[in-house]
Amino acid sequence: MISEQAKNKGLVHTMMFILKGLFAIAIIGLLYWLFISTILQMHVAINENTNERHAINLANVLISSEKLAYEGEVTCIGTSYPCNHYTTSSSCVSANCGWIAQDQSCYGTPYTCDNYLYSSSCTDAGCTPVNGKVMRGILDVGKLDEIFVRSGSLNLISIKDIGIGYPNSFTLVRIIDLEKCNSFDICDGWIGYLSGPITLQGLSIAKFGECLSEHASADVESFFRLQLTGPALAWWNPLDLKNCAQNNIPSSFSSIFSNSQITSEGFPIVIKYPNGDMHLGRIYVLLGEFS
Amino acid sequence: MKGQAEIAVMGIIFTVVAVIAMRMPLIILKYHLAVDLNIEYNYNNAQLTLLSLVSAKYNETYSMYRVISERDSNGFDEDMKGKIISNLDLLTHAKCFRLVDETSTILEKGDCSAAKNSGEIYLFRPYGQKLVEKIILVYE
Repeated sequence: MISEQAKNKGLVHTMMFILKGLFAIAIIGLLYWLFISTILQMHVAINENTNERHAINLANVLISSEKLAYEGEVTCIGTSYPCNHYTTSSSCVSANCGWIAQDQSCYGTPYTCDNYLYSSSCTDAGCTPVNGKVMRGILDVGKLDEIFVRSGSLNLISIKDIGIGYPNSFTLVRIIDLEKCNSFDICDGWIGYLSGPITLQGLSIAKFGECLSEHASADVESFFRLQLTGPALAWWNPLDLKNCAQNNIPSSFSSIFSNSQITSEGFPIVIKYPNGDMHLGRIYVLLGEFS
Repeated sequence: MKGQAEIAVMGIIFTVVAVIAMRMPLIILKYHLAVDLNIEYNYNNAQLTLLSLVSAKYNETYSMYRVISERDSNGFDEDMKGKIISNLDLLTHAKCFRLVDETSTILEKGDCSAAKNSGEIYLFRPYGQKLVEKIILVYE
């Protein structure tokens, strides 16, 4: 009887010892997991923050760049060629000189430099063209049409490198005209992909762009997505977007789906049309970077 | 039994303290990052809002810049204020805002008191007492 009790007591002690050990291991495991996950989350938070800050900087550069921003009128300075410089009748007459056919000579007083409005004609007349001042925040429709595509023609979107972008990055730029909106609050605008210098191997940004173009749609769903994600991501079904990213770009690609303020609210701009109209608009920038 | 309850309480306290101690740096870091970024975005947004406002056209002849900078000499009626307010509505998406100079309110919208975000811009005033005027936009 005594031996049976001693045996049970020993068993209880052993079980207690095992349970205490397991508990200690669990506590250590929990602390380790907390430590590792905290470190990882710090890295993610810092990466997202850096990405968003880069997007803000990039938006500022884009609206200040002569590639997109409206430049004031070209001014022409210097001294124009004298009339006897011109050897053909057309160039002579266009410089406000008189042409004598018999002598094949040009005479008179030419236009002064400030009469020339275009850079090419200014140079032809021997003057020096001075580009107009870049107007920060005022985007030129002619330049937007060259780099981006209008919202209605999404199938023609292609990746462009205009020399503005972070290394190993991919930027989705959306510009909307707030004064050209329909009753569903869907506004006219431009959209385009820009890439920075890419040094990674096996990266298929072109395929990613094609995939996005194929799956873009402006339907009733996009109106609801507009309310949820903002205008930059409203054109795509989230599942299509995820598939495009997973199938074409490496897993180190980060942050394009983060719903930051520059992505969802954008920056205010003015859009200048060729006829002189100026509309208020916004520019949205989504930046994806490869870590 | 009493001893076991004490051990349980100690265990709970230890776990809570450990979790908080581990998570607190992350929470503080995230808070600072979010606040800094928010300030940076709001600063840029407010400055660009004012820049876009003064760059926009009032009509075929006048720019918003001229309407604001020459308001003392050309007048500043309700139509002019209304047009500026509608532009600021589009640009800020704010429920209320105020446009002020250094001493007075130029215009305001809404019955709330805007205090959250602000941007400032300096305008050249050809006919004013001072050649340069500081305009401040405050919006909620």
